[in-house]
Amino acid sequence: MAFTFRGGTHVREYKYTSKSPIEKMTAPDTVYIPLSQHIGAMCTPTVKVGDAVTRGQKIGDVEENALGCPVHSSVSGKVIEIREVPTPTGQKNKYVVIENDHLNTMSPDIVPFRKPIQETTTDDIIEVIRRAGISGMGGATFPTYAKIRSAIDKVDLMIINCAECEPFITANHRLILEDPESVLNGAKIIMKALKLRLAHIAVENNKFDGILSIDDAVDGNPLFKVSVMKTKYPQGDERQLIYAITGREIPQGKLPADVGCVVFNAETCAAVYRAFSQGMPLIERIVTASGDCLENPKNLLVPIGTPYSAIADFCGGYIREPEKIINGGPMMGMAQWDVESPVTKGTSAVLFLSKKMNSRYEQPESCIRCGRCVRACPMHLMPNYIAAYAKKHDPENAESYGALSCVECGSCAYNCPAHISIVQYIKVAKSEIRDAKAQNK
Amino acid sequence: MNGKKILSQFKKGLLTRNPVFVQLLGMCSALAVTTTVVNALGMGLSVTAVLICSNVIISLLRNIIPRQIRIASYIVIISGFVTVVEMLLEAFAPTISKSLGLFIPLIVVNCIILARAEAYASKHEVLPSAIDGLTMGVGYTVALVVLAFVRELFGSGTVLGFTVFGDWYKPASMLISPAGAFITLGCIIAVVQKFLMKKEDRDFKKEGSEGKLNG
Amino acid sequence: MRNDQNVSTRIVTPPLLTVSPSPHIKKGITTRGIMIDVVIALLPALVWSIYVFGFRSLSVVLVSVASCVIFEALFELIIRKPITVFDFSAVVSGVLLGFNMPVTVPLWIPIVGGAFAMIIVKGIFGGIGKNIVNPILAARVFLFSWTDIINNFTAPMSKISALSFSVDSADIVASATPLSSMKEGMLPDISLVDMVIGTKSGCIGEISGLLIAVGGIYLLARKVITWHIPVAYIGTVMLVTFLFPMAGDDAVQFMLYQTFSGGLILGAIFMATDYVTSPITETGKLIFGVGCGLLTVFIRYFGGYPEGVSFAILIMNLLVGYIDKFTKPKRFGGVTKDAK
Repeated sequence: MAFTFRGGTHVREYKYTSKSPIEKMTAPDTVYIPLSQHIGAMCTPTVKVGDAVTRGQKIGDVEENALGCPVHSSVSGKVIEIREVPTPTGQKNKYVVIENDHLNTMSPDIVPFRKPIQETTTDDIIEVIRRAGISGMGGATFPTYAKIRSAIDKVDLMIINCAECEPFITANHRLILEDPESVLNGAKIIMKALKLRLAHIAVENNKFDGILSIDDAVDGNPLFKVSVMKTKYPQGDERQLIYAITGREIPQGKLPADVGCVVFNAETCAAVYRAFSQGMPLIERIVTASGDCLENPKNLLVPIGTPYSAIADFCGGYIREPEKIINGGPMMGMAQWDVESPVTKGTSAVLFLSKKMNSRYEQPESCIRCGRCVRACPMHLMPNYIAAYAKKHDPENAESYGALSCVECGSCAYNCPAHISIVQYIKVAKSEIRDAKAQNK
Repeated sequence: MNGKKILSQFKKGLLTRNPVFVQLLGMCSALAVTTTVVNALGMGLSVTAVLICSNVIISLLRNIIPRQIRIASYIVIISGFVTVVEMLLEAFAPTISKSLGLFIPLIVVNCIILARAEAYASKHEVLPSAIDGLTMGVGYTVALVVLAFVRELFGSGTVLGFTVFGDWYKPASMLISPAGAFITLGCIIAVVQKFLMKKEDRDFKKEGSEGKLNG
Repeated sequence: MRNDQNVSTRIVTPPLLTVSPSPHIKKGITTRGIMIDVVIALLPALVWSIYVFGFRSLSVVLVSVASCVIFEALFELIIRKPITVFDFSAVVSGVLLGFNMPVTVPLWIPIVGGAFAMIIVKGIFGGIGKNIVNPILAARVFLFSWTDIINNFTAPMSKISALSFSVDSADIVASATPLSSMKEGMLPDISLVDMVIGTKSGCIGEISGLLIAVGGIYLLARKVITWHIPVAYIGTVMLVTFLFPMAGDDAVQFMLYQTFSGGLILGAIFMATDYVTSPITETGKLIFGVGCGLLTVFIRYFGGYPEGVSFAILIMNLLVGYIDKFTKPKRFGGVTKDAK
């Protein structure tokens, strides 16, 4: 009996790499570590050009009470540049460019957590997680310590998100196949911090071997419950996940903690475990390198800051010319303009798509009111009307049809026969609504 | 009033401020009586006559009628003239009077006459008011005749009663019905609007960039 | 495999990458694909019509299609908008327009009907997706101006010439349509089996309820239409005609005769479900279907025409904007008063 929700759409899965074990990628000659890798303030560098750095050393942090966590170097070497770079959204980011000396010298700060479990307090846990620079690794990149802190005394349930509903991505799938214990142990640490007694492990039913693997690892432990989810996009979105498992609906504008739940990506839990067992900060992550252009699509363990070109080379180069390079999944990921863009804490996949994948921008036609978008919307909005009002620059009517509730999952545009960029229009509508509200205040 | 002003007034009445096609006034009578060109002509001329006369009288009395009761006074004046026209039509053109039927008395509440009285005749002198009545009336008549021409030609195959097309033509009787009236009127308004917009664009371009800076 | 010997054949990242908004993959449905599915669904009924009425059915339908396509293209050319005939919506309109005419119409009728539908009902309102009423039904009602011609039905299996511009009245074997018989208070004198399969007189596309339903099932399977409108519409008609029979002794028999006559099945499955002129929400579709059903029965019972489907659907088309507004789906998570 699989859990599910109303709405959503079935997308083609393209799970080319579900049988490829995770391969540790050799670190490239140069890494580019962004100073802004998560929601919150941009880090200021704590090193300068010319400094020698070790693997795991902190190279940037935010101010005392600001939202954000530190970034660390994923290689040992020398800082050769601190570069300002434009992002595809037009904002500016700063990279700390480090030349790898390939010696893999570990930082002396990396020390396992030694306090006995009975004496460990919630604040201890939060501090370790913050120092390790862990943020949501499913792609949302919200600092994990902040999520735990804001959920104290509010939640009664934790969900470990292993749904991985986006096509191509198999990072979480391989993780629970190959190392389910680290996920469970990390979850236990978070549950201790929040004093929880039950965590659901949500896995979509297309990852059958993963379900068996994690079930074995749980081995009857009453702390965990493996919840099998029906494979449908966007099952991995926390709103749909919480609703499917518990039936609770998060009101618009609120967070999961407000309905008593907290959701963590499986890999985030594994990173938490590593932070405690080895003292290792977040300096590498599992990335699915896929698409239809690579010679050998693979799941890789990639150092943060590795440029995509190095990943493409490691996978054997191209067998056809890529037209789009995407950071993340094909439904919500962001197309990159530069193949030298680096892997960040939130990069779960790097996709190289060619012309054949129909990923090209097609000339939009007139909306024929077919209603496929309305049926596909997991938030039960009417995307065709929102897009129509956004086109007319009418924020009031766009809001009445639910623009602010949109999670930008892309189910609507996926199904649109008229090739209308519905999500883009809704984003425009959202910013116009916010501007109008700010003006009226 | 010089000749140029009068000419521009006629242009306004016929085209740029045409009561039926642009101001969208008096449409119920326009839709109802335009089943034949003869009826349209009859109606148009009656309205023009009433319009001129009422405009003149209202203009003469404009400083005497108190503001608060002006609408009621206008209606009294207009209905006086409509009664005269009605009796004249019954006497001298009984067939038209019969086919126009109820719409002759309804000229009293024809929006055009009231609108011109309120907007123009109550604020201007006699001669300009009379000319305004004439130009608006002519515009109304032309509008009705055009509408009736299309409806009668395609809806009955005749113009002014004379069969134009041969036996092969099967008339589209939908055009004679009210539905056809609305559709035809809508299409004509669309064409007129398109023409006026084009003209505005051309005038705008003639003024050139100076017009833009001044505007 | 990276082959250092043939550096020139190695594929490199192109200098310019496409950066466009997500989602980056699409399902692959196109408007044209949907329209082609509709045409396929209409083919069984067309083939049956050719069997019953001869090849003139085909020529009327082809002239309709040509007329709709040409007039849509001409109008778009004149108002200088991009030509959209290749999304095949005009083709579907043409086929359905042809289906709504008796086989005896002279060939200028579909031409005039196509012009009216494409230019006045669809083009002037803004083209595809923007018309308020169903263009084919509005054209059909416009064609009622030529009442004698458009209601000139011939008995099945009469020989009508396929290619002549207008049909010799001598070839027409006049017969009352089932609906006109029922309006007089008698059951039609053909068997129910003939009614369902379609050996009866009527418009080209509406005679075979069975084959139209087959097309409808194809559309349901291809997810082009949902079940809501056809079920609500036909269900309402069946219910009301069963509860209030106007002819014959058996209510069930009367209901079945009413359901399979007068293009109800064609209207419910192909015309009322037209995307542009029907509600988007599922509740809205049910309301729309019930409304159409009630109006159809009222017009058939109390109206001047024996046929009510066209008018019923046109009237409900006008209410679609309101129906959509009042059946907005309940948002996930509800709406908070001061939502940020």
